[in-house]
Amino acid sequence: MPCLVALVVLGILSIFSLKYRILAKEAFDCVFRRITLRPCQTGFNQKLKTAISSWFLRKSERIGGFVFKHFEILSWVFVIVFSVTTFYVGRSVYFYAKYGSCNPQEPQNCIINQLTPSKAPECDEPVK
Amino acid sequence: MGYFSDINNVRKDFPILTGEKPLVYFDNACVTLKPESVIGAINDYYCKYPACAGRSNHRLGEMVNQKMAETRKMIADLINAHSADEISFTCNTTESINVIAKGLEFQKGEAVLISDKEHNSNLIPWQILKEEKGVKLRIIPSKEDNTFDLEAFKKLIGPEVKLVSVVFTSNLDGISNPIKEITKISHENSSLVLIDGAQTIGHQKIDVRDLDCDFLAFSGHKMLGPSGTGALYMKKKLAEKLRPFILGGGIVEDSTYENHKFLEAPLKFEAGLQDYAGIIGFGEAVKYLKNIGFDNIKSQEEKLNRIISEGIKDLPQIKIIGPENPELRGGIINFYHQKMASHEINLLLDKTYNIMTRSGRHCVHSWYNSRNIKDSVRASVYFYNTESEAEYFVESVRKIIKLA
Repeated sequence: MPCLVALVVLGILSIFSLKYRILAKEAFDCVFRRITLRPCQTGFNQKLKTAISSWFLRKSERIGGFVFKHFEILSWVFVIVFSVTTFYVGRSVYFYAKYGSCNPQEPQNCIINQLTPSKAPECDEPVK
Repeated sequence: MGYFSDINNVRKDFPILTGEKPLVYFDNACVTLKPESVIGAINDYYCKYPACAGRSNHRLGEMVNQKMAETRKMIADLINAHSADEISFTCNTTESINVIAKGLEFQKGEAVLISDKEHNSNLIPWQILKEEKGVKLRIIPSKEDNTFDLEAFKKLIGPEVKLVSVVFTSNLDGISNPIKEITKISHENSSLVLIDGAQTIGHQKIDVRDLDCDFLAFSGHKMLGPSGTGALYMKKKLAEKLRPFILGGGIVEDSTYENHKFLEAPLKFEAGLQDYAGIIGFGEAVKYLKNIGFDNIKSQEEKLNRIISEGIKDLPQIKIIGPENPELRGGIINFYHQKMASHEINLLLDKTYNIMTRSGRHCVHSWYNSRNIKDSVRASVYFYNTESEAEYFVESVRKIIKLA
C-alpha cells in the first residue's frame, strides 16, 4: 500500500512539476484500483518497491533483501504510522487555530507555543 | 578477426559504453547502441547538407540524392538483392509489413499463413485484413521446444494461401526459422513469402537470392542504425504490381485534378519527406557492420548466450523460453521466474546492478496467452557485449532470485 503515501507526497510535489504529476497520476490509478480490489496495473507499486529496495541493496544486501521480502508489511507499517501522524498533526492544527495552543490541556508541551509569542496578554504590568 | 580482434577498441566506438563504470546493455533486440560513425553521419547531414532528396536540384539536394542512392545500394548489397531498386526505405519493420498487407490485392477466401510466435507487427495487419476483406488467417503451431514445425506447415499450406508471412529470427526466443525450406514449399504452392527479418539482418549474413523470398522487412535501429529507420526488400516485378500504402508527394510522376501517375518502385513507396539523416545513418551502420563481420557477430552472440544460459538454467524456479541448446537461440535469453514478477527482476537488474534488459510480453502477447505464461525477462546480447558482462549478469540474477 505504499502508493497511498506516494500519492500524498507526489500530489504535493506535482503542484510544482510535471514530472511528479505523471507519477502522481500513476499513484492515483494504483490507489484507485487497490481500493476497488483490483491489482495495480501501471507497475507503479513494483517501481516503488524496487527503487526503495535497490537503494538498500546497494548499501547492504542483507537489509535490501529484508526490505524487498517484507515490503508489503513494511508498507503497511508505514501507512499506519503516516495515518496516525497525519491525524495528530491535523488535530493539533485545529486546536492551535481554535484555542491558541496545539495542546490546550498542557500548553507547555506544545512546541508551537514555545516557538511563537503567546497570544495571551503579558501580565508584567500591575493591575490597576 | 580483423577489427573485431580487440573488443575494447570496438567498445570505444560506442559513446555510452565508455566511462568509468559503463552500463551493461542487454536490450539489443529492442534497439542496439549506435557507434560514433552513425551519430557523426546524422550530424553531418544536419550541419553540412540539410536538404531534400529527389526534389531540389541545388548542390545540397544533389548531395542528399547521392547519399540516399549510396545507402540504398549498400543495403541492397548487404542482402545480395539484384538491384538497389528493390529496396524501399520505411520507418521500421512494422511499416514494411504494412506496405505488403495494404499493397497486395487480397480476395475474400484467400489465406495468410503465419507462425504462432509472430510479433504483433506480423499479426495485427492480417487480423485487420481478415475483418475487412474476409481473408483467412492460419497459424502454424511450433514444436514442443518452440522450433518451427515444417510438417505442420506442409499440412496448412494450400492453393488458397496467397501469402506466407513468417519471422526469420524470433524476438521471443532467438530461434531462426528454416526460411529457405519455407520459401521453397510456399513457391511450390504458388504462395508469396514475406519474411520479418528484424532480428536477423544485423546478426547473420542474408542472401535474398539464395533464400528466394519475395519480400523482406527489417529495421535499422536493430542493427546499429538510427531509431525510426527501416527497409523493405521487394522483388522488382512484384513491387511494380503493389499499390503504395502511404499516398502523397514524392511518389507521383504527374497528376491532374482527376488522375495521377505513380513513379516506379521503390520511389512510389516513399511518400512525403523522408528521414534523410536517419537513412544516411542507416547506411553508415551497414558499413560498420560489414567491417565487424557477420561471422564475428554470430560467434560472439553464441559465446555470450552459452555463458548466460549455462549460468541461469539450473537456478531454482527459472525457466528459459525455447530450446535448451543456446546455439539455437542466437543472442536472446528469455526467461521467467515462477514466483517472482518479471518486471521486478528487470527493475532490480537496472537499479541495483546497472544492467538493462526488458521485461513483459515483448509484443508477442498471443504466444504468452496461449501458453498461460504471464511475462518474462529478455536479455539480448550483441557483439559489443563481453564475457565479463555475461558473467556479471548471471551473478546478478543469482542474487536477485534469492530475494524471492
